[in-house]
Amino acid sequence: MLGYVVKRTLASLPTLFFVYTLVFLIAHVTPGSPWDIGSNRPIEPTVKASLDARYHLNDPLTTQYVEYLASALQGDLGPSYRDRTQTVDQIIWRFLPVSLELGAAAMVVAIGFGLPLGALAALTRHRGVDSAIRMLSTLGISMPTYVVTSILIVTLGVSLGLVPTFGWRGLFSTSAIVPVFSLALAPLAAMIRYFRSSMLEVMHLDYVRTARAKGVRPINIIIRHLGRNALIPVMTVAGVYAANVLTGSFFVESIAGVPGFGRYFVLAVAARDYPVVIGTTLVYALFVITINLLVDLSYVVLDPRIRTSTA
Amino acid sequence: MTARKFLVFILSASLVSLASATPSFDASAAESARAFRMIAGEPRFMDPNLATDYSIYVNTQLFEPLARLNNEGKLSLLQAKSIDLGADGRTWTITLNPDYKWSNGKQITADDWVYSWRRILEPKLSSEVAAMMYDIENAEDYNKGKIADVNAVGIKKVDDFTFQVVTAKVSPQFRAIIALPYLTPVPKEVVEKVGEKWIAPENILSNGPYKLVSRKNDQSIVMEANPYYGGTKPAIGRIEISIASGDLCTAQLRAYEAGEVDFATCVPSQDIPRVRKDPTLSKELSPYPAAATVWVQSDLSHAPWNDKRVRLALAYTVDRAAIVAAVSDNTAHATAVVVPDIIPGSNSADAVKGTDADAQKLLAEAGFPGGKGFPQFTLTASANRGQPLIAQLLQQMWAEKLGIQATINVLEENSYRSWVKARKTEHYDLMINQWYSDYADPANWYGDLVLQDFRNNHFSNEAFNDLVKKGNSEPDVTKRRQIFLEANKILEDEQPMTALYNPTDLWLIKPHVQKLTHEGVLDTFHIGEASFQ
Amino acid sequence: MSAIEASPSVRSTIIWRATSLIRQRPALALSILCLALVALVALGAPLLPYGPFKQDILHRNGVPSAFHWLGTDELGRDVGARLAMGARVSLIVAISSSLIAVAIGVMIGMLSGYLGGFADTLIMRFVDSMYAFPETLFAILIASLVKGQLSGQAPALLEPLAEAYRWSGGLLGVLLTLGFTCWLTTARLVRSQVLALKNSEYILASQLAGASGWFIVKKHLLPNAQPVILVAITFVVPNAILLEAGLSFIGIGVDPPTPSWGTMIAAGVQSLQSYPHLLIAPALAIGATLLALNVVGDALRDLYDPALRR
Repeated sequence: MLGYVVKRTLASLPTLFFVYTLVFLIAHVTPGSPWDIGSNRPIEPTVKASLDARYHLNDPLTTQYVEYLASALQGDLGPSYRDRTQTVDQIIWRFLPVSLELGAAAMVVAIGFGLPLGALAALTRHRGVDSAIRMLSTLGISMPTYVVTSILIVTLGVSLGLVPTFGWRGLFSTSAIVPVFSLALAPLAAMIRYFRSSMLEVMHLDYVRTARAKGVRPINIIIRHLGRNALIPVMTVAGVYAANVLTGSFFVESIAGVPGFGRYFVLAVAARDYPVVIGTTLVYALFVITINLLVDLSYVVLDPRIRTSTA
Repeated sequence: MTARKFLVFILSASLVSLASATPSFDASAAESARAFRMIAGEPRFMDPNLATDYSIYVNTQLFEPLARLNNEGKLSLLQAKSIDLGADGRTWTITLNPDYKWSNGKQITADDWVYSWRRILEPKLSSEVAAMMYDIENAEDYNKGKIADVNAVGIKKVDDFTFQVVTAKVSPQFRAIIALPYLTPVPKEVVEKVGEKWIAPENILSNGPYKLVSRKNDQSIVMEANPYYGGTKPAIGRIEISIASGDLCTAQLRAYEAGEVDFATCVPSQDIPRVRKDPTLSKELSPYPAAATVWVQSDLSHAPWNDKRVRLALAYTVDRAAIVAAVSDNTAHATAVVVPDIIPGSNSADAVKGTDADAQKLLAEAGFPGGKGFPQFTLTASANRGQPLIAQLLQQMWAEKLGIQATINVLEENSYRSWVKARKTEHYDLMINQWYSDYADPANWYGDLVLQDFRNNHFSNEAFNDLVKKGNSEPDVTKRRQIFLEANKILEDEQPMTALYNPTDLWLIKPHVQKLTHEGVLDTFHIGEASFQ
Repeated sequence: MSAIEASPSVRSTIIWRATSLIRQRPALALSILCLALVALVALGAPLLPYGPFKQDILHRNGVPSAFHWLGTDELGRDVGARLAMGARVSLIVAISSSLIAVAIGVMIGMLSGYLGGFADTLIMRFVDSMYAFPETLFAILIASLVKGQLSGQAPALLEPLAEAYRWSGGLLGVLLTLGFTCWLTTARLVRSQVLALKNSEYILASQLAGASGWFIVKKHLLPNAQPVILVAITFVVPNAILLEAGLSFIGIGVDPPTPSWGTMIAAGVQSLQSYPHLLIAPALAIGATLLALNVVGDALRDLYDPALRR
């Protein structure tokens, strides 16, 4: 198992390298200089030149590429160009936890409601219930997130006054309701659908039929036999969504006023804040790689068949 | 298995949230003072020496300039006890009011002021405020690196509470510049000790009615009354600002209607009619004509835009009433002259006038009868401020009346600003642009905007340039106005820019907030002068 | 089941199939109907009485009335006409971005699966890194890049592309962005299918007979990968439509005055409190279409191979 982890970790290094190269290229090729991006008046050429020199923006691209990589490997992700009193590290540590909280809560909601609903849809003999659950879940992914968030804020916040329209007061406050719900919709829909279909598959397998024939109570069957096996595709889907959800959604955070990573990401792109863009992209990539690894490890734990083959 | 997974998730979520579930605002302090709540955009710079944009609206609560320019054009003193102009017309002697102290109780001295003003001009600081001080002797050369010695610049300390500023030549607009809210002092000792980090809440000192208590970048700013402020102590003890990104106006309106903020600085375009008709909100609306103009301009450096007949044809066929109705529900003020009428030199009678038939005739004379043969052209606009709407309206007007088809190109705000600045050397066809007065003086419009061509219009007219240069060194107020009136005639006659409207700032102020007024050409607000009912 | 004989003629077989479909899987039947309706509306857009570009400032933001069944927008244009035109745009977006995504994805998937070995590992590393790249960010960066290079004055080399960009009303930029962002899933699916097929007997036989790689790809792998490609499209199309809506919200979508459901929704959200009718129409349109696409997509996936859901 340890060998597997080490092998995967090593394999992720070229991936990170690719990501770094790609984001570096795209960021620097997009027109616009970070210095005059927000100002009303054009910046003095001498001022621009001195700023460029200070941050090595005049060096050939290859030099900048190597230098940034070298300092990043030593842990220094550079200063933010948009706010020169902060470093990229500080920004990441300040905004990532909020997105993590929000994302984790959204995943909990998605899994907590998705699994029971998916099971219900699979096990119920009532066609209508099954269809209704599937229809409702698909509705959640048939609408751009920002529409849902805006509608919720206007109805719950402005008209009814149940939630604040703006701001973040912590995960266990009313200000978390709209963002968490908006973020949870897509993974919730996926959970319902995938858990339902994998349960349907597993339900007809021999050993389950045997258990039922033997008179094992349905709830025990669900937990012991179905649960474990049906969870495998769920872990895959959870993995796919977790990376997106944990690093925050620009739309949800921007509209609801959550000071999170996703919103900051796009702000940095708009401001041509190269170090922040590169730093945050690398963090995001790290997340995806780590989560993929965790999901694959969970397969090993969940399915004994896989365990014996990778050992 | 399932239960364990759930447990892990819940545990980690709880741990993470406990670790970072600090509420946005410190609960204990909120009990001691009722807070004034508002939403604002993240200031680009909290350092008052650095920024000339909307950062000023936040910084104005913390930092105060020497004086303020009132509606009659006279200086009403704030941090200064007296401001005198010497007989040579170039030497300004400023005596400070010793009542004013930093927010830690330390005396504000001429050292601080001289240090700050010189710091603005320091080339390394790359401050945008520097350009506004170029009237001062040697300021421009020092800022551009041509002179190395800061003592050559015309800012000198006379004694602990007096300093002198010498302008290169007689500059009547300097009176307005002194009153700029950007020319505020910074605490010399603190800045010298910690450098750029002096704006952190634990270091920062302010000379205005409020001091910075906490700041979470891109999240919140909290200020409390400055106990050592030398002027009238503010009635509102605490200010809590939430930082929003993206659509500020929508976020503010929603929060305002939900009662979460006391003040909103703008109303989204599509909500203006509803707010104006609403019985409660319409009473809380506070409009203010901005000393600003929105216009459409062409690139005079190439055909067909260098042909005045083409420009006039486009100008005659603009239906400003439709634009003002669609973009602002008629709260903005349609105008056909670029310089707003509050600025001396402006004259709405100079506007070019013509009918649609005249326009068609001119276009035909220019070689494009009925629009035939007119080259493909692009109208560029920003995604914000209703500019896409204006672009679509213009596109339709010109297509219907002149038979020419524009292609619209909408750019996201930052890309747009970048694009505009790059037009200095690159070609374009048409762009929608705007200018908000930095200070109430013709030099800001005729000089900065047109002569220095900050918006890359590529317009150059010898007679106009001479007049502006003459006007900028004319000390007599009446004669000066005359000169700029002449310049205005040329500007409007040539029509490098076709003015569309003067925007109106729309504030919403809760009825329990009193005396929060619009101040000056920048439409700043001073919470220190307001009070709760 | 009533005694419906499967009569020899093809027509009644189709009718029989259709009615049994409606009876057994009403949701699917409804969805197919919905999509057909969207396609019909898109094609018939020019036939509507009010054009999508006719402005009427005096009657702007009007609620649905006898003249304008869905109301008017902020410039007085007929919402219904714009919705129909927007259906066209969404259709074009869906088809083109799928084509681009599939073309790139199939190429890479085929290459990677067939070549195997080091080339496969390298390409898969690249695909992994693309997966690790946040999609929205990538879309924003590409869109800004495309807009920056193609709008206004383009460098001489890109001039024909810029011309196409202008002619399409900014749609080309959105299409390129979506195509580049959406090819990942296709690549992965195609690759796994190719890997599965690679060792089957008829492929080996073909290789032994001396067939070139290109021949094998064209004659054997591509046709057999069709179901997978179809499944991939069912993932790409809803994603593309949603992504277009997202880009429009940020302001880097299609240029005005071209209506698209994304720009209409983005504008509708701005008018949510004052003129909700401006949001309801495009939101329902997008919602219904995506719902239908998802139902049809599910059915297709179930049809071809339940295992493909992974």
